[in-house]
Amino acid sequence: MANTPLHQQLSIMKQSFFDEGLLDHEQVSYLETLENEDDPDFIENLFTMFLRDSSRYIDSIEKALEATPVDYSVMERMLYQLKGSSASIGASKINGETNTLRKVFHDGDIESAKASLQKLKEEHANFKEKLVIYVGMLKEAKPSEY
Amino acid sequence: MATSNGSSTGTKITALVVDDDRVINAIHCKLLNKLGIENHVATNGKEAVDLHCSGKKFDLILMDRDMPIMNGIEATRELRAMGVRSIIVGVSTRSIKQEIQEFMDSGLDDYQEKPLTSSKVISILRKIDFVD
Repeated sequence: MANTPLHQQLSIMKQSFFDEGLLDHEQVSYLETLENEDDPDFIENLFTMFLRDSSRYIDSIEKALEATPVDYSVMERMLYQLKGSSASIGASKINGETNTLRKVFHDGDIESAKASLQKLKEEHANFKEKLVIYVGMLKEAKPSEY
Repeated sequence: MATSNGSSTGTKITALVVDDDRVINAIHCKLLNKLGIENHVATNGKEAVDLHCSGKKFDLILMDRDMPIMNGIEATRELRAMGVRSIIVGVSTRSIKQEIQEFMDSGLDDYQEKPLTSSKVISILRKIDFVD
């Protein structure tokens, strides 16, 4: 891999994701092994897909929680969906907050679940803001490699 | 439950990934591809059943539990009732013993918690003698 200032910035940014617990080092390293010359945009596309889909899941969770009565089946499905996809891309904090929300929801405490959802939304917004920049830099770095 | 002579389409192992999450499908297809496994995707249990009704066969099916229209438990039961003998591995984020057992009882050969990794898939394939 080239060692341009952009690549150095990418390295630093990636490390900060790991240091802040936003991304799991092991899982991201594993995903990087799946990327190859036939599909050099795999990681960027995966992250972009996750950001889009996770936003949708969180919106559905919010609507289900605000509904009267609470839509339990949508909550269940969306929570497991978000748990699975966040674990699969190594989005540790989002995965953690999803598990917390799931536990509180299963305990039947709807008000605490709503508070937990707000935390999840904050975490997601923070992650999205940083990951969008990272994906943009990844795209910028690509032409010089290939 | 798998046939001992391996792939349904010559020497290449075939797999069906059944999941309604695009991120999971992208990762699982990529890891199967890297292992030299030809893969297809169904985004819910009904699509998986319909594929089999149309005559498609797969050596390995990776079945998610929670999906719209037809979930993994219903789809697995349906496939077994149709006489499908593929290896069906449940892949889910559920970790409660009862929930896993309920999924296993529908006709799974194995259960793996997400995220799947190449080593998990290789261990499944070794169990059914598809790899050394």
